[in-house]
Amino acid sequence: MNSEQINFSINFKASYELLPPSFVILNNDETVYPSTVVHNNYTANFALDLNSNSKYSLKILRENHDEINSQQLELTLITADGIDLAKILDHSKYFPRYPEPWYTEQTEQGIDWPEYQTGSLVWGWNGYWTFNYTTPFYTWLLNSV
Amino acid sequence: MFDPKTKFKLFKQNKHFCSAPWTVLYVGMNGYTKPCTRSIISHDLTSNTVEEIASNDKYKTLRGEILKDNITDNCKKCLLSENVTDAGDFLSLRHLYNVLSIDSTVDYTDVEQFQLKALDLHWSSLCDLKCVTCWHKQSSSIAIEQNMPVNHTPPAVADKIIDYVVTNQAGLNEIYLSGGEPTLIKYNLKLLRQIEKRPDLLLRVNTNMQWKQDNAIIQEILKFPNVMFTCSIDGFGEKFNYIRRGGNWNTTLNNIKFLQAQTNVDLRANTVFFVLTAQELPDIIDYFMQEVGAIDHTINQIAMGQEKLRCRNLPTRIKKQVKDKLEDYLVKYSDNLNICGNIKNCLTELEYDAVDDYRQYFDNIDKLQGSNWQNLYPELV
Repeated sequence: MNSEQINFSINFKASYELLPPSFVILNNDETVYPSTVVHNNYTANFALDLNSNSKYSLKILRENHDEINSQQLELTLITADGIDLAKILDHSKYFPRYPEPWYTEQTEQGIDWPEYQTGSLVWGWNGYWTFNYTTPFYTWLLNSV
Repeated sequence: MFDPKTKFKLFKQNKHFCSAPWTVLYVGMNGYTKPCTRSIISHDLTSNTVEEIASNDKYKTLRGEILKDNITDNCKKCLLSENVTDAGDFLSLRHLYNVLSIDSTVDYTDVEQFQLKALDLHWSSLCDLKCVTCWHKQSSSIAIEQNMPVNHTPPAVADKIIDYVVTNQAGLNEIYLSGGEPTLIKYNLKLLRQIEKRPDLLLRVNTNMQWKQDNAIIQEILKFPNVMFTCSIDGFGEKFNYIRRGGNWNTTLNNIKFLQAQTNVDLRANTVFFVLTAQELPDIIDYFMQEVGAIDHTINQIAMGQEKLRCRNLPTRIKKQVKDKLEDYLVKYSDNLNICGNIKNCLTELEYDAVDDYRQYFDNIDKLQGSNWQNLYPELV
């Protein structure tokens, strides 16, 4: 099967009171960047070997929020082979893991929090961000940007 | 297969890439073809085949220069009309062609390839109007009035083009019918009858809107599932009738209603920006966008040998009024890239100093048809 290698670079920015946030990056549920704590700014660089004519999901697990103190992790830039993907991040989704019992209390008060936020790059609660793409990567990119 | 990464670079990272020389067949009026309406280079079909476009030396040179991301003399004018507004980057004609050709399997790095994706038909000047913005080369009625030759593709060349297009129609994404007036050009009927009515084929028609509703070409056009009519509108009522000599505003209105009732038709409008339309342009845009439900509006700068009618030649006071109004419309239509890009080009035109006088031209028109432009546009006298 033909494959192509794409070099990704993702910039993060953290702000917090006590505990810094962390992240793990997965591609189709395979870890491609290990758990990393972000104290201020951090850039994760990694290369992906992708099979042709396949569907992929890039996932970032956002972790280490103690659900008490203020903490925020922001994705400030994502590039593929140096190409800024900002224009197509509107299609990405962030699935927050709402803390309990807060979430249940909110629901009981009639406040419905969405299952996911589309295009959100600033993440408060723990959760995961996903971004789907297909290969050939550049054919997908050509039709997306 | 053409390397997707290289294709991405050409389409999205090069500054001046245009796919037209690889994919667009523009058919002119005297048996020649070009890569697009604004192109200088051409391919003579009276003595060559359509297939030989691929190996035409001028085409090959142009493709090579485009691959180097150079601005060629051939493309300079089109590229200069591009601009940036709050609505985004206005990329002129090449944007249209690049979108139409993005799915092409042609190898753009090969300067000897051609694969038909879009057809742009201007193969006759046959037209029943003598618009004041037009000239003898593009209107047979003006040519006859001025005792000039009528431009018309020779039948043998037209047959050659029709055979080629019918054979290669599977990859076609768009057919654009213009003219002259396309509903009067019989070649269009002969071609359209042989084209499969596919939903993924866009049929665009640029028309003066003066046709009868049982016109055979109109009826054939309406068999296509995806049709876009561009209505040429340069004013309302008596002003329309004056500018589009021989045209009738009420006929246009009736035909707009007729097209609005067709579920397979989208409408857009086209206005020439010149001394007689400058003041009314915002109202024309509003009318089409808000009342007719047009999906877009194109504003062309006047050409066709009528430089004296350019808006730079308006009285200073009128220029200021037009400029102020158009600046408001840049904001009003800030979500419409095409309208904003076109308006910005109008504003650029208004920045130039007057170099010519339009009055004599309209006086001469009045002598020909017994009209009085000064009654319609007293502020321009």
